[in-house]
Amino acid sequence: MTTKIPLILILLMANFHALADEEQWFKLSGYGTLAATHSSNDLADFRTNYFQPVGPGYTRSTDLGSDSKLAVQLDAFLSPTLTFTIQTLAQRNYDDTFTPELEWANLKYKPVDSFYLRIGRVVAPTFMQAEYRNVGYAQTMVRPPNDFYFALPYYHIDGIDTAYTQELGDASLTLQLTGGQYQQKLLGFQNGVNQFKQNAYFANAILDYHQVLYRLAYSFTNNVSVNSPSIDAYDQSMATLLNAQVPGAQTVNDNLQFQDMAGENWSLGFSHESEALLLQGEIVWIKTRSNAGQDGRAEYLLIGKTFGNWTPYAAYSAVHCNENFNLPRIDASGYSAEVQQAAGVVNMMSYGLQLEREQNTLAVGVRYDFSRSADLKLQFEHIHKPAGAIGDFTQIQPGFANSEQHANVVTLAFDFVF
Amino acid sequence: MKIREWMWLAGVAVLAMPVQAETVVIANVQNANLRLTSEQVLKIFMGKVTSLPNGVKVKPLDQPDGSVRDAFYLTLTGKSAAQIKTYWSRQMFTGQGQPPAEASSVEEVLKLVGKDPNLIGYVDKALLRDNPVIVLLALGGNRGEEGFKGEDDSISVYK
Repeated sequence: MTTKIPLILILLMANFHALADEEQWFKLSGYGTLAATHSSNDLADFRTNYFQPVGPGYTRSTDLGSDSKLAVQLDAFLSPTLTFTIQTLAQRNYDDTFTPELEWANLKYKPVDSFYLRIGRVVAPTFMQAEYRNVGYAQTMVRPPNDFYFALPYYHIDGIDTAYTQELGDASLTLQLTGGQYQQKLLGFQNGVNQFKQNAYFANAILDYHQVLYRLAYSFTNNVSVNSPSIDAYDQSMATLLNAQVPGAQTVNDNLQFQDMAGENWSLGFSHESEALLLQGEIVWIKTRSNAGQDGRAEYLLIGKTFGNWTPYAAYSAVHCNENFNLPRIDASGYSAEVQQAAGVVNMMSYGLQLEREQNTLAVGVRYDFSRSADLKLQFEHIHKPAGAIGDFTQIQPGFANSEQHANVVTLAFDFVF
Repeated sequence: MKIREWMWLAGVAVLAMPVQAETVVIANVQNANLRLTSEQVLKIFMGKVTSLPNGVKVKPLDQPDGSVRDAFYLTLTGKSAAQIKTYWSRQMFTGQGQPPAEASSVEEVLKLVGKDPNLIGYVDKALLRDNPVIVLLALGGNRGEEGFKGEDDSISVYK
């Protein structure tokens, strides 16, 4: 990390704006965050992105890689109506490397102010702050609330994004339709790499009136393919149990289908951003078809106020699980060793999936805009997780899931744009 | 300290308070007869609209960082300088737009707007004197958001 600091300082000196009398056909810009994140709970790791394999807590108490990231963007203005944008982002990946990935890479056609069409890679517009969730400088908080934003962990998709804006007096109404294929890798049992491919579709209506914004969103996803050693092991074990006609196996099989992880979501968002007041809130209802995903609801409310260069803020967020699990524990005693082993694999999978993604967080912090293109933030979060849930944590150690747990997370972040 | 001295000091304090400068939105003389509402100016400077009501392509031109620019955006949008920067970082890094070009000085704003019929800028009204530009809208002061609407055009054309 330390070797990156001089580079960042050089980049900061670059001008944020293009020169007035120069018609540039391309523009290079970027953003980043350098942060230290600490968590007080050493029975699990706090993570800032659903796919991060480690974070502060169990693995280490303070982590410099959890919130830190660096992105570079090139915009090429090919014609007055055509723009090509490519953005590469380095952050902690699913395998704990910081190899940069393409976040945006698309061709945008905008023939009039009220309409655009993008083809290529775009960030999935899941929620209000989703498309700039990685740009620390663009947000009041260190990051959008995990309790809420982990509900739809879709990042970039390869497909089409289009929007039409209708002026309604001083207000404007934007209808956005986005669809495409999403791919993600996730570490599973024994560090096996699980690869998911899904189709994701988003329909958003955004009403923008001066400092106020309302957002209504619907999205659905369906499964294309899963390439997962964990799920392969589960499928084989399930076949063994069904073959041996072990009681309960059929019920688990009916409710736990990984090949059909479709889900749909409705969400509402509200934001008021002015010098006088900052108020923001979102709520989402999540419905999944299989027990492989959890039904639930998540929400947050953020309030802040700007005093010159200082913006103190407070936020409350929560995620609730409403899933009615119907997965009995399979008892294979009396069967062959092979069947008993298969029951162990199936029980482990169904136990893991029944641990609820339930928790709530109270956050307070302050953003200090010390320069025109950089800020400093200090944020304190108190996370509460009930017994029988794992919340948004990873690297779960014995004793964490079955008991009520608390974690105090402190983050010091330096955000910049260039 | 005597009461009279206190009063004198109070008087100095009042005089030293910043006088509310009147900021005007300006365009090239080729756009004479054009007037904009503050909402239209807001949409142009926030990158949402790229043509004037008369169909002419429009490009907003910012002053350099400073109090005039901050006051302009605060009056227009109710947002602080940091919130405006935040807004543009969201637009830029989601591929939705680029912030206005930035002049190196207020003199450059006047010079460039005087040359280019596609540019609109904003300056302190007192600086208009020798510059051939037209006023599209007056912000601040007691004139209200509708600016010069209904007034004699000669007020707003400076040659």
